[in-house]
Amino acid sequence: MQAKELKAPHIRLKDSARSTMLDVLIALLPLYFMATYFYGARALALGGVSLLSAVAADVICVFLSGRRPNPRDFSALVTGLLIPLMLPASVPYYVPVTAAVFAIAVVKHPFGGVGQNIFNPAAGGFAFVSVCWPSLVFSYPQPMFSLPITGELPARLAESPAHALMLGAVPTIDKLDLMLGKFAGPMGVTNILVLATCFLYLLFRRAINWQAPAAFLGMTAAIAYLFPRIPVSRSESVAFELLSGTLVFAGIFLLSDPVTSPKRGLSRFVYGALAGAATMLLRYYGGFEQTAAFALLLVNSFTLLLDHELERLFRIVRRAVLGFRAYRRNQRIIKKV
Amino acid sequence: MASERTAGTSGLLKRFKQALGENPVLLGGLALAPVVMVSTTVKNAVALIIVMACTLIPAMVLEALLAKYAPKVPDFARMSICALVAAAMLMPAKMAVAPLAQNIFDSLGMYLALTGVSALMFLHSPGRQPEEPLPAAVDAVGGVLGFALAALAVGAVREVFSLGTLWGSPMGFTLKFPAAAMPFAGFFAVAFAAAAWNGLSALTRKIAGRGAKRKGAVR
Repeated sequence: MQAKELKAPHIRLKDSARSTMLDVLIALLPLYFMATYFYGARALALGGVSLLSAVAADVICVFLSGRRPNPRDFSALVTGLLIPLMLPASVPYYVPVTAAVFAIAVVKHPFGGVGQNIFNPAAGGFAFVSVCWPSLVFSYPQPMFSLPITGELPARLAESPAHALMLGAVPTIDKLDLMLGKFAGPMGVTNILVLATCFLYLLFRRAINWQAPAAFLGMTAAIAYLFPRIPVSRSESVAFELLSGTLVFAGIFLLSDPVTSPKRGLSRFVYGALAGAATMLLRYYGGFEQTAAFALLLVNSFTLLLDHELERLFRIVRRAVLGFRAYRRNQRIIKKV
Repeated sequence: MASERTAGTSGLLKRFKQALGENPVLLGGLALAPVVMVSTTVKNAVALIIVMACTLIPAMVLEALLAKYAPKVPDFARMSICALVAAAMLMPAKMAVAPLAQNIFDSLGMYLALTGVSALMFLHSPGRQPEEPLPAAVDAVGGVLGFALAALAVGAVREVFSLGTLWGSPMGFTLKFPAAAMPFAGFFAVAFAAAAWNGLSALTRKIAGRGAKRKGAVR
């Protein structure tokens, strides 16, 4: 038999980094549509500015590292579009620009660029601007009020329900509005129904895994159920904690980032659960109302460790099982003899 | 005799250059905690450099003197004496930094006091052996200058970004990044400074290599 010589790559799947990023970009479109519906064209302008900044920073960093920009790499586009969705529509343009440049030039490229970064760039960018300008990042305009693209913003800014939760107060919002995102909050992450649709689309396209988001949302829901922060029923506590901020969005779009999340199924479960616990701990004891990005950055540092240690655990269990089977087989043989 | 002295002087100069080039913070990763935590402004960085100079130079010279004139003193006792001297030198260091700003020593917390420990880390850095007092002093001065370069660079960048000032004078920027004064930004600043230092070293070596090649070709 003559072996046929074939050139690499030998695994020919339709999925690639490009197709995954393209799917994420497609999933982000409905969120921008909703943001534009709630806050007018300013939402799109913020997205555009952030996108351009991220791409420009990416190209500059690639040139500085002595490589050529890859036109098939959409990761900078995804980062650029993710950041403004977590910000209020009233935020000045320099905030998403700073976040995007920080995400690319500090969080992504110094660690090796695409596929090498340890921390989620979008979460890093958002965390940086949250720390720099908390008053701008955590003050939100009311929805259904079109904001001008430039000039003075006439809208009166308000605190989000997450802020009320942080203070231990019960948000006075209708549950349906909470589901539809009709409350003062981040411009593109409050509509849970649209987010759920995006999640299903990404799952169907296999662009993301289900384990990490499921464990993340499950853990946050469990903690909210067991230890409610506000004097309401346990189920209401779960609803308020899950729906009042960037939590669901972070679970779907940030946590399932294929680069910064673990590679094994069980590791992803543990990773998601850890991120959920960290998010709730930061909510209970931290200084900010939106804590998912901070928790994610914290848990990102355990990704390699999780993969490594759980692999070791699997090996130990496998060896123990095999050893036990061999022992029983030997016992049977001895009995027969 | 004169040639011996010239050789000795050039040897010390070479040693000084080496000590300066092998930056303790940017290459050795020593004394990172004070640089990250304290170097948030140029003034703080200068205070840190003064304290480092006051503790490191006497400790290194004393260690060399003890190694030369009292070789029977065991290692642990020599290090303990050096630690005590470094800690005692914090008092004159406190007076030396006082003119920079009122209560600067106390306001910067324990990190200035911990610089005495950083001096011990320098003494214990890998591959370092006790030697003659003069080369040890040259090493210490080179190390302090290298430390000063790193601390000043990190302090200046963080002050410009976080407060929009340099040595307290406004730079005219309206956009400020208060997070630059936070410890995480300190780590990033040190990392970028280390990358820049490595890049500069590589460039210098490249230029020196080209020069040597050209000289070889001419000969």
